[in-house]
Amino acid sequence: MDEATSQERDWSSLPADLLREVLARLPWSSHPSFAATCAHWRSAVSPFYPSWITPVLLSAANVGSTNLRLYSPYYHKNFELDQKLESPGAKLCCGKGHRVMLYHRVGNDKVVVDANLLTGDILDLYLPERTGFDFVVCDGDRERLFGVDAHVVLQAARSVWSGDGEGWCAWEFPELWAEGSELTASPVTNPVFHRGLLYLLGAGGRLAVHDDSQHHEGFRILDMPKGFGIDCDDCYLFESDEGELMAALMGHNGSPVHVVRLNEERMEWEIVDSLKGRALFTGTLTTMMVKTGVKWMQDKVFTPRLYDWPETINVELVEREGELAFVPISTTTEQYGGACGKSIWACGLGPHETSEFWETINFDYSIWVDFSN
Amino acid sequence: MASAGSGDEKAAAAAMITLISSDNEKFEVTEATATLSQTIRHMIEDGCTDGGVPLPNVTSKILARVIEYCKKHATAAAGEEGSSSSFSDAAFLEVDRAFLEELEEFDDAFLEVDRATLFDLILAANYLDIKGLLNLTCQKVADSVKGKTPEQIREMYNIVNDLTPEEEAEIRRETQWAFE
Repeated sequence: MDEATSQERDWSSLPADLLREVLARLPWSSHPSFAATCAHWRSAVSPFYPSWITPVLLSAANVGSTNLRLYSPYYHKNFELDQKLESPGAKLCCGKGHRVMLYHRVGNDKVVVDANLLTGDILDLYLPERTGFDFVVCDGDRERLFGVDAHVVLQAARSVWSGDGEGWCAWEFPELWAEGSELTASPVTNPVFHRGLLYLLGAGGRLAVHDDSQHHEGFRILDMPKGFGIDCDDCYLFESDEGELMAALMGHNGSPVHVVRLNEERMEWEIVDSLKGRALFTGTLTTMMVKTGVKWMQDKVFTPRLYDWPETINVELVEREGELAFVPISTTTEQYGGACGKSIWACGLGPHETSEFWETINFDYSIWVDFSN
Repeated sequence: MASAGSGDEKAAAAAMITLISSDNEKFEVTEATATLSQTIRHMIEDGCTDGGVPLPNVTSKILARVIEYCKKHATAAAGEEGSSSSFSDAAFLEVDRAFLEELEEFDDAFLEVDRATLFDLILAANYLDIKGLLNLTCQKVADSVKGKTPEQIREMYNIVNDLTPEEEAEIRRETQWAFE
């Protein structure tokens, strides 16, 4: 009997269904190495597309119910989820991975919908009568949710995540608020969390700030910065991967593109002349700057404009040990490699790297969502 | 024999099943232990366990280990069922947590085996359809290859690379992101 145990077993011949049991417990990022071990192990590995390589564009197509599509600039493919949302006409507000916030009108009611794309679970958070939000943003830890009215009055309502299974608490509104007319908020960009405060960007580069620890005081419009000092058609606020408050400024038809950072000592916007190898995804309510190993994406600014319509693949969103991937529902034969980058509008920051939006298709009402951990 | 057991155990002990390994060794186990295996559960339901259950795919060495696993987990399951009715919620949670911790320690120690035994345990867990054991052993393999290069995996499991250079290039091309 001991002889039998000391004998080697032929692991390369482990039946395929058992190899799949192992794969079901292995993070997606380790599947390529598993496949490259030997021919038999490779045969057990199913095709999938990782969701986290770059941010992806989430959009909703209404065909009776709401089909959710995730466009990956890396693959130049549209992944259509098998999960449908019964929220036709809902506005996509923000998302972190598979948790997405939508703003939705149902008759006279307005509701913020917290949707889990993985489980299909939905949490509805109704607004009180005669209130409405222009923006809905969630902090990084999903502990606080803010609904911002930037037009009628300038105010933020807050909902706090209750840990004991109650979900989001009822909206709390501040007692005081700033007059909305004093600051014309840029309608194209969400407010952004930065060092625990919520910043709202004015169209010309001014800022309003909301301190949640003094929630009832509402937004305060800052004296400085006075403005960008650069003409632009659209501006998008974001926090960089290094924790700086920044904005992307887009000219008419895309060009020129500028990126500015807030110098917090002098409270002035300063031009950023290099992305230092990072990629910037903007042009939607959400903007994100990420480090990337994908060569053609480095030092580029991306907006939701495409030169040709991508192939749509029906997928299931599947989690493996905390990693999410798009798994094709029917077996397809096309290639699984990345695209080369000629299909999405991109622009560098250098003076000779201008690029205009001509002949591009706009991905309306989409937002960038980051699936990385 | 379990002598200091509860009423549950005594009742279960009344129904004993004989399992026969591929090398003809006989193991007497309680029905509660045996039925952690769905394969054996179905045999019992079909009434074809008289005279013992032959398991031609499992050696006595592996069967002994599998029975060790099933005994522990069957006892834990019986203990949980018993405690749920006789303790207050807080006490129940306390007992429950202690059970789970003990079970986790048992599982960790149980997995301290060489690669050949692990391989045999996976095949046995699959053949006998014991979900918990299959989960445990496959998770062990998954954890061991997580984050490793193909070369490291081959070395660990003594696998010969039979992929052609073209196939290797194809894998690399399709999963370029893993190398960027």
